[in-house]
Amino acid sequence: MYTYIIHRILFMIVTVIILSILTFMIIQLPAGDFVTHLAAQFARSGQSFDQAQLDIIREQFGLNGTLVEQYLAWAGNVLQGDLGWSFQFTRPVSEVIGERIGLTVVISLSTLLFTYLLAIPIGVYSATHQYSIGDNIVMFIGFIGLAIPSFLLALILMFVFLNAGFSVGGLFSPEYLRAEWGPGKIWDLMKHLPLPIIIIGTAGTAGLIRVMRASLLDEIGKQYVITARAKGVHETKLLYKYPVRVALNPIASTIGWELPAIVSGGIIVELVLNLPTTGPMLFNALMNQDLFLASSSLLFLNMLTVIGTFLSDILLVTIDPRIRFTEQEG
Amino acid sequence: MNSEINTADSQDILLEVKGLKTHFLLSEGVLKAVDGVDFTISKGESLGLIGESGSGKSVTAMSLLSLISSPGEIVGGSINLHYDDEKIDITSLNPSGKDIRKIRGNDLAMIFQEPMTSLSPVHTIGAQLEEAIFLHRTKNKSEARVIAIDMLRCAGIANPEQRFNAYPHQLSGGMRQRAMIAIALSCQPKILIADEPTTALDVTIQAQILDLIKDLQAQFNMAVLYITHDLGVIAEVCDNVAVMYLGKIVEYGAVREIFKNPKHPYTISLLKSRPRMTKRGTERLASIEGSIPIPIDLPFQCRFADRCSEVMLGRCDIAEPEMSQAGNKPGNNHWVRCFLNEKLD
Amino acid sequence: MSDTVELNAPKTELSAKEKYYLATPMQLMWQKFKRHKLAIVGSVILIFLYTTAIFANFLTPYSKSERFSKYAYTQPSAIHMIAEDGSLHRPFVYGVTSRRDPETLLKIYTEDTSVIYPIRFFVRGSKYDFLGFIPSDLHLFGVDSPAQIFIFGTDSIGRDLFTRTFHGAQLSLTIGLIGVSLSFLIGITLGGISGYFGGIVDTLIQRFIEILIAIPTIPLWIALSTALPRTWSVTQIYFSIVIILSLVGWVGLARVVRGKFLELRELDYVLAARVSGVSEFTIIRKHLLPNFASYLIVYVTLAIPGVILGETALSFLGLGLRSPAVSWGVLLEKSQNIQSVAIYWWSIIPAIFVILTVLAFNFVGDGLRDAADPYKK
Ligand SMILES: Nc1ncnc2c1ncn2[C@@H]1O[C@H](COP(=O)(O)OP(=O)(O)OP(=O)(O)O)[C@@H](O)[C@H]1O
Ligand SMILES: [Mg+2]
Repeated sequence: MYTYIIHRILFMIVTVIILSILTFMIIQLPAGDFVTHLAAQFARSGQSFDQAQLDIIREQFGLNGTLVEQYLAWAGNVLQGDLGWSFQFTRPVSEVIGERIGLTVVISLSTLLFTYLLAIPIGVYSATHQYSIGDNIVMFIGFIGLAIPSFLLALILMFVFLNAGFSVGGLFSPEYLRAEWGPGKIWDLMKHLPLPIIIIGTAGTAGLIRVMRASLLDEIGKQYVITARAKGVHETKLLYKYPVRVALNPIASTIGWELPAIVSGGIIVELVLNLPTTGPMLFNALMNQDLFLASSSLLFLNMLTVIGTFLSDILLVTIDPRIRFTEQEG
Repeated sequence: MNSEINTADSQDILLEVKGLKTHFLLSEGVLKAVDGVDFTISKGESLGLIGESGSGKSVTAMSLLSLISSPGEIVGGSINLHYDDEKIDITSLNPSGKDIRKIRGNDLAMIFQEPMTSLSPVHTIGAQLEEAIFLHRTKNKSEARVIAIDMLRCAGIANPEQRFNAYPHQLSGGMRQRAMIAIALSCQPKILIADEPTTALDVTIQAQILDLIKDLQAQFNMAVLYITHDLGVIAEVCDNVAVMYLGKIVEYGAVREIFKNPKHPYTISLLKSRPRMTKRGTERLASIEGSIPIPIDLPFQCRFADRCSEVMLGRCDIAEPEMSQAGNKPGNNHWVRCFLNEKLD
Repeated sequence: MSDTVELNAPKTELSAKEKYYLATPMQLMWQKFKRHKLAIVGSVILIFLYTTAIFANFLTPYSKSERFSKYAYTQPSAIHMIAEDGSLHRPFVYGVTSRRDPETLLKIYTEDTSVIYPIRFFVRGSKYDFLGFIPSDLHLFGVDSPAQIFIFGTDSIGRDLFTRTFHGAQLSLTIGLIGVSLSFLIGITLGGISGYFGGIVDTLIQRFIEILIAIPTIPLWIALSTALPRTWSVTQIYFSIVIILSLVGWVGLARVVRGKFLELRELDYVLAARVSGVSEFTIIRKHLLPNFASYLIVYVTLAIPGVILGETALSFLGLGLRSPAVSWGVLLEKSQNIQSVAIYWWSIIPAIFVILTVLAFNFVGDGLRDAADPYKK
């Protein structure tokens, strides 16, 4: 078991390194760099730079040198805790991300909670009432939830909320936007959270309901359930103690990679809803080749995914005795 | 239907099944898996139920515990469980109600064919064993543990204290079946239903498990219903045997009598196709000509007529035979469902 | 096995039930599929959508880039059957006149009920190449000028949304097929190689897959699409988007294919084939692939909507296809602004088509999956 974990951790480190190289390269793919963007902007307002000036700016930004040199410089800094400089915001990347990450975490974790708390009981209901009217309704809503892309759902729900007289977009009412944190501001945030949570979480919830239903249906007919029933166990207890417990194993263990999926899937929704979170920031960083902001945020996301997957596997090994056994063997 | 099959002293009767019908309502039609089955089981008796795959043995067994779930349903007949002073008809109980739960595991226990899948993969053997004990015997934790470990030892499991905390996948197939037997017997049921308890095991283990059940049967004074394809099993452990074909019992009698003097053409061909006694094989009885049909929309005729070598056209294909007594001695406990037998009368 | 059954069975007519039990797996699958109502509904929707995409030129009254500058953001034309005076007519529209609201500065269109313009069928209109090579100017329906018929309204520069939605289907619907074919090819090849040969090849491919999986999909799509040069042609962008979208899609398939191969390669008949000297490739193609063909069909059906949604999302963000290309995502790009959606509600009509398509594919995929499952009744 321990050698297994150590193996995995080593592989995780290698993965993150390879991924950081890959993403660094991908971000640099578009022609030109941030300085080219900048020069183009100034050119539009009539100012122009000569090559020498541009080179000086590049030097200051750390954009001179080859790709490899740039990567090594950035990676070295990151290892020392310095995430680099954001060109768009003209501030350190750590500050830019730090300002937004809190809200991203709040939204993502609440979405995760929303997804699981809603999907699991509904999935259990659906499976135990297979082909009933309720089940059919759940399945149909589930289908639609999966079919509507999140950004369209965002548009539709915003439209509905707008017509119902709610304020939509953002996470705070104008009066709290610049206010200090306090009970009023927290309450205001709470009022704004449901919309993004529902939008980001719907597809995941729909998917999870289907998985829960299918795997529970699979388990319900299994021999060990009949064995337990033949012992005289009460039907409700039987359901939760055996098939639900077994069906939950693979689902509980997906939590680890559900979180990164929510964070990256939320980007488009956050853009449409105009939320002060990391999603729109990353999008703009990619669009404008804000190199260090983009690579550092992607590094975070990659690490989240890798660690999430690792935790998922460990979780699965811990809650499913069968898997623990094979891992020990292997 | 015919209720005088068993002449055993009615005081000794534990279970009395009459006209049991269990059907499955499928989209292709009504599948009559069990279609009028009668038998009785007395105290301490070992009854064998034998028949080809698909003849309805498992469905019969499941019906006894009211374990049939949709699309299946017990549509007729009665299953009377006899107590000292009363009878309970299992078919009249709510299949998920309190009364049937008191019977399951307590009076009637069951072990299944597949030891690989019949135990929960995520609970320890001990937990699964204690569950039954908590339900029917004691609420006391330490007492339950003592009983559980005792049962594991009875079931021939070495180091029961250790095995108590093992998960099913950590045990071999034979061990699992022993654990299953320990669970089934933990509440000292009156009747144990063993649905092909050895089919999935290899030959040497099979003999051990059968011996174990036989020993425990004597020790606990239980009746056992053995369900099997294997005539060897019947010969070894049963007192009486019922031969089942397409949802009906076609021949019934004492084991010696049936082996010596089979009457129904189906039983005869079963006996012919039997592997030699020395080699109690796991092979299924495949050498009877044709194969068992699916019991949907069966024509009104003898169910075996299409495959029968003795078929009498104009007789077997226009009506269904009833159970009739074989042999001329009155009181001979040997019954057969065949026109050939009726002709002799 | 089934041969012996047939030989031994009594020589009577096969009953319906017996036929059911003797059917081949594919026949069985079809029979079960037919019983899945939603799957049938889904199939009908898909056939309808793909057919309309093929005949979009004929089915719509205008050409996809035809502009009616006087009609910017016109709402969908009302189709009447009863005129002002209460008389009954065949379906017709009125001409509209526009004026600007002095307060909101928005254009307001009012119907001019003096003249009725009946909807005519098989009218001559803008020229196009039917199926890409037969020159034609026949359109299924239209109205006489000066009136116009905009069933879904028009966009900001007065192009007919109905026409553009049906033309958009061409790109949106094919991108799913092509994208999935691509990930299918990569997935089968790499998964197959991995599972069949095992060893070091397997390890390498598995490590590669694990790394790829760890890249979050949407940022990857965004990052890659921002790299597409603005100067590229529609075709170049189209295929680049296909490649970007299938870059991630094949991974799941590769894993499953590998798993199946590991399972199957140990089976007796594969061993038998190898012993008798059949080449590895033939074994894979002849013995292993047919074995889970049904699984692959299900997988493909369920993967297509993912690609369609991917394209729509990217184009919606302005990163995918761009004008003059027309896809559902491109049509929706303008709707990014909720304020404009609130006023010009009809501009999200293409979204209904996206949702319908995805739903239909999911229904069909679900039906296929149920039908392919041999243990399900
Ligand atoms: N849950 C079910 N749904 C539909 N049909 C069923 C179900 N269970 C059993 N059957 C049908 O009932 C008939 C009898 O099945 P049963 O399992 O009792 O046979 P069996 O004699 O126990 O065979 P085996 O020796 O293979 O265990 C078969 O035709 C089977 O297809
Ligand atoms: Mg059986």
